[in-house]
Amino acid sequence: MSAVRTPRVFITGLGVVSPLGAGVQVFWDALLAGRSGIGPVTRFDARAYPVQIAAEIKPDVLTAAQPDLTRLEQITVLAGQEALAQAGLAPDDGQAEYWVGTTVGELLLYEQRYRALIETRDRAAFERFKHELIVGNSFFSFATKAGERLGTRGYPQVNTNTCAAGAYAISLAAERIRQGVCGRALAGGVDLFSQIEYAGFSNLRALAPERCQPFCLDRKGLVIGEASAFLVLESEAEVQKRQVQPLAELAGYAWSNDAYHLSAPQPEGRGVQAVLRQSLTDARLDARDLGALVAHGTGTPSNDRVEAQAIHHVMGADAPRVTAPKSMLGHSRGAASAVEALIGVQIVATGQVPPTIGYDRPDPECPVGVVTQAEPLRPGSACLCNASGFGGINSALIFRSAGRRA
Amino acid sequence: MNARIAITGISLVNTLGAETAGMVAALRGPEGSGSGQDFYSVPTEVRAELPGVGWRFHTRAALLACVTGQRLLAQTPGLIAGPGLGLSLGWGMHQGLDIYEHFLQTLDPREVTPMSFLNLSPNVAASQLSIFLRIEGFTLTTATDYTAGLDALALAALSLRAGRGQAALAGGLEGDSPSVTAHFQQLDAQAEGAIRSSRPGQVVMGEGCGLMCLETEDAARARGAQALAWLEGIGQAAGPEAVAQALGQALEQAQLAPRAIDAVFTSASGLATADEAEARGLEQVFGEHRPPGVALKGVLGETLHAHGALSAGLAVLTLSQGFVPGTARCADNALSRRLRLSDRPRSLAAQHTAVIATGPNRKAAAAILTLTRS
Repeated sequence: MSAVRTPRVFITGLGVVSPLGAGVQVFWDALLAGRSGIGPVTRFDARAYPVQIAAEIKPDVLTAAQPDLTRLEQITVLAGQEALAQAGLAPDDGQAEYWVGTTVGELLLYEQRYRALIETRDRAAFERFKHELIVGNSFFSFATKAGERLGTRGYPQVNTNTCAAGAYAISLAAERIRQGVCGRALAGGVDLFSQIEYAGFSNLRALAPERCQPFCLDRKGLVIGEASAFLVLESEAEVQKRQVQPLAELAGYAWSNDAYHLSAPQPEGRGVQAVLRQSLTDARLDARDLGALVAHGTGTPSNDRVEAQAIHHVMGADAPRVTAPKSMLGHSRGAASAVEALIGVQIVATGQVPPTIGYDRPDPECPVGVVTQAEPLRPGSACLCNASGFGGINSALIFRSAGRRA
Repeated sequence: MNARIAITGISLVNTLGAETAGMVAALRGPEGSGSGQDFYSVPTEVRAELPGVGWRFHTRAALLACVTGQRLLAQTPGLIAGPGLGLSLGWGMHQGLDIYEHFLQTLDPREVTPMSFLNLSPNVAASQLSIFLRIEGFTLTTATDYTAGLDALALAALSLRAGRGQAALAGGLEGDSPSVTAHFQQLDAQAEGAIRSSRPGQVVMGEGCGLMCLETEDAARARGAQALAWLEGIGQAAGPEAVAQALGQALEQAQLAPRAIDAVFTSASGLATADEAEARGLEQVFGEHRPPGVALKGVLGETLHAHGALSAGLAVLTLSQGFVPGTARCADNALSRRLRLSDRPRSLAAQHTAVIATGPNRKAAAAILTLTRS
């Protein structure tokens, strides 16, 4: 292993908009209490579907938001503003690069405008909207608009790595800091769910009928959700210059691809095993240095089995206990791994591990210890956040305590 | 951390075909006449053997990506598939639009089959390519804007410098889409840009995929691979001065002065406003030094997310043969003169070239490439 010290990357701010509310404190209190953000679908008439539940962001979250922004822009800006404010950065700081992960960008907006056309029969208005969407590449220009409102620097980078997109955004931003290209970045993920996605997951037979039960013997699938979560990342030099106390350090990360199937995980979990090992190597840690693991834990039979067995294979008896937030938050796709990274930071910053709800019966094929009541994090230990996505994409992030500023 | 990035393979599929030698010959033209042919953007008929593939490509874009990738690996026999190989691809949501509308007309859930649902995802082409070629390292799909073809090169370089793989396939992709074509053809191309459209008043769309094999200098040397060119710098900027800022960033990374640039492969598409913004940006950077320019969209059509990578690949291939291509349907106007375009290929002993890609949201990316032979 190289003796050259890897430049350190710290987390100084967090922001979130979720089915459990907007704001990190509200979100965190709800998570620790084991409150679920899952309920009946209100976004559209779901009676045509065998499953009619989702984890929606409640409409009242946006009452104070800027009405000239789309819903996606609003939740992106809200989470970004909170993160920058917590980091003690002025709204027009202009120094942070901007990295965004999403799966489908403004697909919900497209769907809503189309349905409005059907009701109003204003074909001309819809065609104008669609023209801008296509020619203006507006599925993803929300990041540009959000970046302008947030005062970020230059060119927002959008990746569409499905359910690992948020983690990729965070990792890429961290890499820019490690390589000395920038000193600060705002990075995370955002997604809203649309009816076509609901139909797609439904036809994949992937939706759970009543609740999301990761790693549980009775698990029946995922619950679709939505969220926006962003982290402020800074270099050691920036942290020292600004004399701020970071929330955590991003100690290491890793990426891989199963190269196996568009929607099913590689059965032996080779790709997941790879990111677990490589992130530990990158962080210069062993499994026994971990006190908690935030799992991808979607509640689908195959994903949970593969992930649990990969954890067990790589870490064995040293494997930390696992928490699976999708049991409360649903699966917010491009935002999910960013939300879970935020949870990882909160775990090491507060020393508390939130529970997994709905874990009624252990599955012998999922050999992991699951946190079912909020519990303390072993002092001095780190937290690994694991994520996988359609197309075999895998990622892992490791957070540890930043230590006290001298 | 600042390892030099080598381009050790180039594979392109576009309206000129799938053989790079043929593309270079077509751009040079018979007896050097270059753009005497009236190139016309038509969907690329791709026919290739795809051994071992037991499943259909449900999107044209994925097919283009896999054929291009397969050809690239054939050029780079020492590359080993697996965890050391990464992928960075620039692409967007357009291919899914035709699927969305079909569903939205009925709102019948049964209209969204599992495969059509998976094909909604903008990373489906990268995923299919990873499966097809067993790319087990990093996989990135960037969809920031129509600069994505160059953005993907930047992300690959970042990842390789971080030690996240031995090599990466990187570039951009665009597949033919009827709804996309229909909307671009509505653009007001009446005000003449630097290229005369073969359909007056309309932008001509294209499709294709451009992939390059990128490696750090050390990795290429260890593999015994020859660099075709070096990716010396990539700049990315947004705003009214985006072209100038992006080019300035790229030059700074490359540690080159503007006068060192021997040719510019522009993003000019024939849309006057965009071409004007690009010309202004180039003038700000180059001042009195005006290297020859070329606008490949006159040949390839508007290839959106693929443009930057296609242009970079053809820049290396043509300049390495000692010429800068002519611009097909080059307009005889002030804009084409400001961009230093010519309807004829020109002999050129080039060492450094700039490649520009622009997007509709006032974004621009610029790459600086250094040739290893010319």
